[in-house]
Amino acid sequence: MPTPAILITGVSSGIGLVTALDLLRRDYHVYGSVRGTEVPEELSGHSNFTPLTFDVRDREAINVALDRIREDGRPLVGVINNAGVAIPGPVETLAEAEYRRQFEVNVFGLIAVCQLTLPLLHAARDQGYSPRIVNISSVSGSLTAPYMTFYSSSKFAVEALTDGLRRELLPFGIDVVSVAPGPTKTPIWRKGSELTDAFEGNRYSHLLPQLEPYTQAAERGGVDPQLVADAIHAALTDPKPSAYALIMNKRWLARAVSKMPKRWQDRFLTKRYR
Amino acid sequence: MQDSILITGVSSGIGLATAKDLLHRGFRVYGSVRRGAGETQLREHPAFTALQFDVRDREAIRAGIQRIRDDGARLVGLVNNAGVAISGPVETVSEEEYRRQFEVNVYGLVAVCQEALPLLHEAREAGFRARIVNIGSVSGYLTSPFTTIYSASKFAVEALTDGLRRELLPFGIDVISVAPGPVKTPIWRKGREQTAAFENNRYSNMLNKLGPYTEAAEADGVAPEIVAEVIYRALTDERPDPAVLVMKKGWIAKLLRLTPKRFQDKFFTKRLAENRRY
Repeated sequence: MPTPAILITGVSSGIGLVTALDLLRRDYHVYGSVRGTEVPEELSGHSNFTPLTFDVRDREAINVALDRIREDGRPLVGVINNAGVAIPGPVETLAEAEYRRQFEVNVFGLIAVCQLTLPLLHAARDQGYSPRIVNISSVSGSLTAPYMTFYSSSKFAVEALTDGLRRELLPFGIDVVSVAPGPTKTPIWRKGSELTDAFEGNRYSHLLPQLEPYTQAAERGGVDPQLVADAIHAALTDPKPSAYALIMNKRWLARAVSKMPKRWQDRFLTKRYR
Repeated sequence: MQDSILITGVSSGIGLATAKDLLHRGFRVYGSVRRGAGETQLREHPAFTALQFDVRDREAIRAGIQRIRDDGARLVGLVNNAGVAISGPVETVSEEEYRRQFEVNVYGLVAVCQEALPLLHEAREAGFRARIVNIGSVSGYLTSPFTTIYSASKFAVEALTDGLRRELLPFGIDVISVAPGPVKTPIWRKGREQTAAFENNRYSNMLNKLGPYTEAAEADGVAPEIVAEVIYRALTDERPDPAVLVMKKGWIAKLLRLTPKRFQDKFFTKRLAENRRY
């Protein structure tokens, strides 16, 4: 019997890297995508890890990279759509290139990977496996904080894509779930905090000094990415996994706020900036 | 000076009904249309100005806004109504189609907001109440299978509405979403001819459901005039509800949203068997 395989997009750092290591420990074969040539050391030496080089924005590159999985002949039992970017900035002033990039990676990239890997997932299902798609969303997929509106908007879209795709694939026995972390000890926001153009020389410039402390606090109060990896493993293997798993400290608070009337949410989510 | 409102997409449906309603109430209305023809009924109205732009074309939007500026009009409201509805399974819908869904409903809305905001800030600074009303959808609350991409775009609009409202709170510009359920408009009929994503694949059993599906939605739909009335209130009420669902039996949708996802799955699967979306 060949080793079942999982594809994870974006394994160079953060949740993707920790999840790849976790699944390797659990004896899966892991295909992990990286954009450049830099495969993290922890992964490159592992015999059950195969790096694939593609940017999720490049459909052609994804398709070429998938040839490797097709040729290897291992059943693809899971796809983890993890690759993502987080772009801060006011809606009014964020450059078009930046908000487009937010959706190109988090939404169109996810759709492209789903479309191109689904034939392999259907094939695994036909061989008797229960294939899964796990979309990495965010608490921002159910609540929108100001100045992270585009990120939130892309993650709201991911939630809809998860629900819709699950409902469409129900008759075919492929399950689709989302794992939504809150702030995580990963570099995603640090990568974004250098992008301050949208706050400069305009009516939002008073917010500039607040950006860096905010990023640091989010990382400090963040959950350990291993907890997210555990939730992803459960999503891949539980007989009936939760269709939506929110992973964060004080999860009850986020849940309560998302059920509050909007004007209350407004007050709660803008408190930090007053 | 009359208060002016900009509405995108006034050639049919909710946009047309809203333009008529606001003209009737004494507003000056700037309405965007894509093709040269426009709407004759509106064209004859002295307080209506047609702006020709596709929301996907930022340069054209800019020219339209310049027209409002040149008129010296006071822009107190923007109604982001222009939208398309694309159906098809996520697995098979073409890249061109899913991109178009977001180009119009998401990027188009963002571009119009960005271009119109300076005028809204001016009106606000002059002491007037300025508002943005985004036309969402019940599909921005719940995702029905085979309209997933449409839903994803409308979920994105809900987040944009909430985020923008929170960002503009200190400036006193309110941002509201008006989310209709099925409406007696041609939006789904326009999409119905695009059946390529269902053809010759594992979803082809859905093909014979699409007709009844669209017809049921239009038959159960609310009249666009009712949506127009809600938009008017969103523009003028002292403290409007920032998220209004306009739908027959809207409470079912609201309740369904609070139920576990697997329960929702069963609801939609059952509805699909009955050729209904909601």
